[in-house]
Amino acid sequence: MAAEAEETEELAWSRETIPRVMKIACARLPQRDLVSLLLVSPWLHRTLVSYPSLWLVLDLREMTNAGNRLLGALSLPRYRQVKRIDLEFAQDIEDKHLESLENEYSESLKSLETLNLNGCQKISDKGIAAVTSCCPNLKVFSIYWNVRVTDIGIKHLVENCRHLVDLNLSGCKNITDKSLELVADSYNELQSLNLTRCVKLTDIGLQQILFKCSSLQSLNLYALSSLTDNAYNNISSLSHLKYLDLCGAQNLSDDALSCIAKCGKVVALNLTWCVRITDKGVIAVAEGCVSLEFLSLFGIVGVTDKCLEALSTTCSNTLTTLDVNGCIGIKRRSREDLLKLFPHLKCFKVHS
Amino acid sequence: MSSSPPPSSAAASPSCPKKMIALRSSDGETFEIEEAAALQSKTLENMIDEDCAGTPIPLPNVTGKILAKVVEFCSKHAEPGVDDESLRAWDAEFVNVEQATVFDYILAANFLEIPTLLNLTCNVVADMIRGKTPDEIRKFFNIKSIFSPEEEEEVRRENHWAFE
Repeated sequence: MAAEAEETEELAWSRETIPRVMKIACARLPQRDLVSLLLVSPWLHRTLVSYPSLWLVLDLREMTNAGNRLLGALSLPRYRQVKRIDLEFAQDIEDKHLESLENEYSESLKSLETLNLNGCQKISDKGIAAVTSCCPNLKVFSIYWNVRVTDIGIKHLVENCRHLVDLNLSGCKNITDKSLELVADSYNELQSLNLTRCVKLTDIGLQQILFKCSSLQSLNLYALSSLTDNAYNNISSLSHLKYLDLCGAQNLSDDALSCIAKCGKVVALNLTWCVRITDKGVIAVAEGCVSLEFLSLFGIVGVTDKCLEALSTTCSNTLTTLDVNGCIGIKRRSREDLLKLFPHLKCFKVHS
Repeated sequence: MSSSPPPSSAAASPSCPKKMIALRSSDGETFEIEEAAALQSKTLENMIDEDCAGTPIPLPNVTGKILAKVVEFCSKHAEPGVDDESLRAWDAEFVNVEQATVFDYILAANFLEIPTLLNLTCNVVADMIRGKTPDEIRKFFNIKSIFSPEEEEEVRRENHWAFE
């Protein structure tokens, strides 16, 4: 009798308690461990597989043979409502895999909101056409460091995915103004745009964005050194702008920066290597962007202590990051000096 | 007198400085808990709002043994002036118990919607699972598996994309 009772208890443990508890506790586990749990027992398998919120993310970051893994995963019913697919620096993922996806599993991507193809350098316009045709509800698309993507790929993107709010084309060197025109026409609600190192872009393309994407909160123009005031002046029309990266904007003048200073909600501003800037521009920023938290003036030799004084009258409560390394015009820029002006500073170095 | 303000709640009673809430466990034991401590449970917060003042709140899903500890946890976390480090150490001791008890805490914290207790206990279990093979998980938690060899092979095969 005792042995029977014990056996019933053991069974209740495996069959009921464990699945009940694991269902609650496993949400915070990394993917690999989550899948390991499926292999533990049929009761655990049944309980977890039918709990949709556990299977909204497919994480294949840095994995080898990622194309085949992606197809393997999407063949499973539990991923039919997947919301986020992360293939950042995954290896062995090519257009052919995305084309297979389109042929066999297009239904599974109807709920997809985020697609990260950062570093997937083998993917070309063809692959982008294939995958975007399956995810009409995509909101976030990131394809950092891919030189095969051209304006054609972007055309497929804007035609297939009408609701994008976040686009990262950092390092996609072959994108031209044509892409920006397409983005500007299609994504009036765009909130975040990263164009780092897209060196073929000119003022003309950027102006399209600035005129039409008025919801932008984050704009990254890192290493786009051929842009000029003609475009920079119009950044002021982005009234919701919070994050602006102008690292390397060698043509940026004080006057243009004074215009940009009208974006009163800016909290992070990167002016690293904006070598034409002097106190005049930074003082305008101090007056306009009173909630500034992050500022880099790295490498700007034309600014002096005056601009720091101006900044401290308005931003001393909010500034937590300030990089003035290489600003030889500022005499009092030791850690102690800076903390006197900005008591909440935590980070003194942005650019290496 | 409880000097830590309870989380915003319409039920916060200004006239009674140390309002006690009565709880009844599934096995009929009654426990008293300060309102401030009770409000850490979203479930209790809702029930208190419904003005069940006086009558013990029945908790059919929680035994007396576990409810006692849950009351202890909530009371500790409602105490004013406890520094982070001491609280962390106290928490670590609190979950330094056998598996079955941690599981009971998880189920109670889930039912009573106590985020702090739920996080603490789920992290403990997650740490136990991380990095283990299915077989190691089975052994660690003493789980009986009745996958047939074919079933097991099928589940492995369809999930083998997840493993390096």
